[in-house]
Amino acid sequence: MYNMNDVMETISMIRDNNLDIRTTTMGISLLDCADSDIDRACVKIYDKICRLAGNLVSTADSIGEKYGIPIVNKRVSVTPIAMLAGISGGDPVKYALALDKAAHEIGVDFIGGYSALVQKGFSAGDRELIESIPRALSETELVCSSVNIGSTKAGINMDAVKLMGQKVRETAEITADRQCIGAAKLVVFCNAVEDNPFMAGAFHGVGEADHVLSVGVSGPGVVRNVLAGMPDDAPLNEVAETIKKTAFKITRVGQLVGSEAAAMLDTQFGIVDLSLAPTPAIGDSVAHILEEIGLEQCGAHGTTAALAMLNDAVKKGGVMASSSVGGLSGAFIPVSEDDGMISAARAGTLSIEKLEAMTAVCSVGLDMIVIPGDTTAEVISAIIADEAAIGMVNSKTTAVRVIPAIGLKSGEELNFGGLLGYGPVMNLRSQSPAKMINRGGRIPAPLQSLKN
Amino acid sequence: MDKKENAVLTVVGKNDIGILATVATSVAEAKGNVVQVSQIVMDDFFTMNMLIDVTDLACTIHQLEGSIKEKLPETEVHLMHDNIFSAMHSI
Repeated sequence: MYNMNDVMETISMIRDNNLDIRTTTMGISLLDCADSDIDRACVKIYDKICRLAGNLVSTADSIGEKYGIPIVNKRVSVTPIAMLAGISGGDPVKYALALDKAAHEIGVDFIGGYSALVQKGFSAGDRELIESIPRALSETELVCSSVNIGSTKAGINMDAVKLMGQKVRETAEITADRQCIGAAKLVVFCNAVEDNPFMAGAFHGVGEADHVLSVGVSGPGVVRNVLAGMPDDAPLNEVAETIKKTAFKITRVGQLVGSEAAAMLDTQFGIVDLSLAPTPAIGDSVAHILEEIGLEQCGAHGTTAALAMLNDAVKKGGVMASSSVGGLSGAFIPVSEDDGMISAARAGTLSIEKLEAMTAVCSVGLDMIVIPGDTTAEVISAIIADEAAIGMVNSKTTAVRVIPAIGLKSGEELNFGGLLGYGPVMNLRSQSPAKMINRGGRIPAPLQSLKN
Repeated sequence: MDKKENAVLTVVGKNDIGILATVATSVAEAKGNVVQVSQIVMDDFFTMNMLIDVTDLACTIHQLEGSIKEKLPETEVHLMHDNIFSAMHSI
């Protein structure tokens, strides 16, 4: 029989502190759907997704009910579509529409993989896909897009960086009547991972099995609550130890749910992504954990150190709890999706420079940041380049998901609704990086790449 | 033979006549089998922890929890599959 305290702890984690399974994501390879006829390829894609993931939502719901733990999102990630577009030619938006139709049919929240991997250069289909991103994201509802423009091994493709600055801006412009939502579904990566279950950056890497099921756990509220129970003078090593133990428990739930769902869907279990993913709900904030550690507000001096400790402790606890850890695994800091970050940004405590520093010690990057509507494409490219440089040199994944708030000025707010949240426009430097961005070319791979 | 499946029921609230009887009846009606019970009554406060074999349960765990909650509106009732507790609290 279980210890009453253990039982009550689990119940209170789920009922009171928002412990949930943030996402179950089925990764599906579309390599066998490639066809020189784009329309035929689209039919094959739709059929394969519906066949493999048709029961994803009902299975996740039944497991959620069995264990009394909410599984918030059900998603699908697919092979980067640029590879299929390279084979078929034609308008890549057709693929986006096929993905969107399949996602609606099976009832998932998002489908990711409208992606291109161009860290070292463009191959067939890559440029066409990138050019089509603004249209694809405006004509579909559930499709998410990502582009990998750099890696530690390859350096940074600055031609792609320049192009992506333009595409982020165009995507926001074309969806300006819908709170610029398109840009919230577009991520630019350095060192993208192939098994990430989180959106908008999920895609199914070519090194993966035909279909796998991965799980992303969450639980910032749980961590915060445990820390709130500690004395104010507890040393930081004890704080880290407590976070580690809590991360272990959270991850065990993810492992349990993921392996059971994979068995029910007759697919391989992929990975557990040990990420603390916040939501705009009260009490589900990573910023509030940092504040509980001892900062007056997230963004204050000391934030980077607190975040580094949090991120590391989450990994240490999680790694022991799961047989297969992957994805992004760390603490997320998406501004518009985190109640505490939104408050800090509104108060001016949290600046883009501080966020950039924070991304050097956590997953993933400058995420869900609303920037002024008059920001030029070159400035967005420069933000992407800065962030990619941090990822490239530190051998970690970094990403940029900024949303130019077309027509809005500093201090005004965008509201995307749901898990994507809301946020104020954050100030940027106005000096131009245009000359550097327009040089194009490539930033060579750093010395860190020569490990062999 | 299928593996046995258990669930853990907790009831916390003000002590009253017949709480255990009410719970036991609901569990029996749903074809659950009570494996183990521990209860503590301190002053007027009632805490119960019950391990139930739900392998042959006629309804879902969620439905059983709902029916017990309905009969004991003054108490806090939680029923969860025990896999989640063993995952979290054992290595």
